[in-house]
Amino acid sequence: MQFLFQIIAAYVITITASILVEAPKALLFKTGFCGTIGYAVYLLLLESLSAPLATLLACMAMSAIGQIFARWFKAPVTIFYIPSFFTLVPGAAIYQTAFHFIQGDNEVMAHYFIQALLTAGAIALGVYLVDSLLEIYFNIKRKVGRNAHE
Amino acid sequence: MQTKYKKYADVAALAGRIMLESHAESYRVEDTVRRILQLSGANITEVVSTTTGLYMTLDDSDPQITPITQVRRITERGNHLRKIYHVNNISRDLASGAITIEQAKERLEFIDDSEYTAYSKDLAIILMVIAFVILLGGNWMEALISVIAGLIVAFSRIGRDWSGMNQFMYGIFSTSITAFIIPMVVSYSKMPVSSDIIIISALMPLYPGTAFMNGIRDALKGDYNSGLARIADALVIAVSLAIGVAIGLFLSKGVIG
Repeated sequence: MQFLFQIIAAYVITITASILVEAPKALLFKTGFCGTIGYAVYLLLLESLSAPLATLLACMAMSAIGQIFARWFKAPVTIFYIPSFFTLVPGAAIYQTAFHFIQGDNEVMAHYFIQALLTAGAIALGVYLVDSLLEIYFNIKRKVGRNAHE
Repeated sequence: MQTKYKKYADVAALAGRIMLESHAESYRVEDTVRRILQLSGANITEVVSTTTGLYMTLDDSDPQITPITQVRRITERGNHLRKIYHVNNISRDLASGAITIEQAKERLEFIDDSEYTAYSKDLAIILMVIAFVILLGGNWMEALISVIAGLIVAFSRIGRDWSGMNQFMYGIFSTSITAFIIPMVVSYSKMPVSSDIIIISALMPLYPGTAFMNGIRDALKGDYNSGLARIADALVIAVSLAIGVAIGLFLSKGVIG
């Protein structure tokens, strides 16, 4: 039940984030699916993996879906990327960093600060990996195609 | 011949300016502008784009042709993914020969109005805050109080437009008000709710998602100049949110005691 609510919330978040960055109206509801599927992957993986690792894999899923959607609907891939990643932002970690800074609890603060950096890094790495692998794939595909042509 | 090249250069510069003003990645801007310039048939096309400017030259090895160089300084930027999408479509149509260069110019000039009103954005902010409370596992009472947090963030947007404050000050301003008011509301309501989840959710609409994502993607394409500038931009805004929360919590602690 909790899971279902969270999935619906992820869909609402992705769509509202699309409105905030003024994504084209025609693609709003399609963008929602990219964020929702990615977040579902995150929630399912969180049961067995640590948070940064689950974030990394969820990001790779989101990027892959975003790339597929971008080719399918003939739109720049950032339209699907930017709103989808709002659900994985390390907001709680940044808040806890500030909160424990006020409390004067430096050790706990450092813990949350590192967690925020790790999550942000995981998002970056996820996008990086999928985009690079895709570039390699298209490069090889073009070369193989050319050789077959000759 | 010269006027024909001028026409292509103008359209390319216009397309590049619209994209840069809409927070497009630098590599995407360079790619689109170069594609449009190459359609003119001249064989030397050079495009450089940073976050604040666009520089392009259209030239030919034929000595009869005078090179055309255009520079665009970008001063105002905002999140308009819609415009990037439309420019992308126009450039695609132009490349496939579906529209002429004059039609492309007309369509580019026509893009400049927004599909979303300011109120629909405020509504989106409030909905997003409520959705984040549910996503982070809050109960229905927390979701109810988060409407107040959403309203504060939406109203502080109006405050920004009115006072013309920059991104850094806006981050501190909106989060400090939220982190100041929400703990007081929670403590006076005497309900068993935690203010943490509500404040975290209220921060979410303010995160610099576009700057972070574009920074990563520009750095990925080897454009570290734009990439690091955008990532630094995102970091500064994230720091401003943390500072705002710290100020707000400190003040509310003093009031509640």
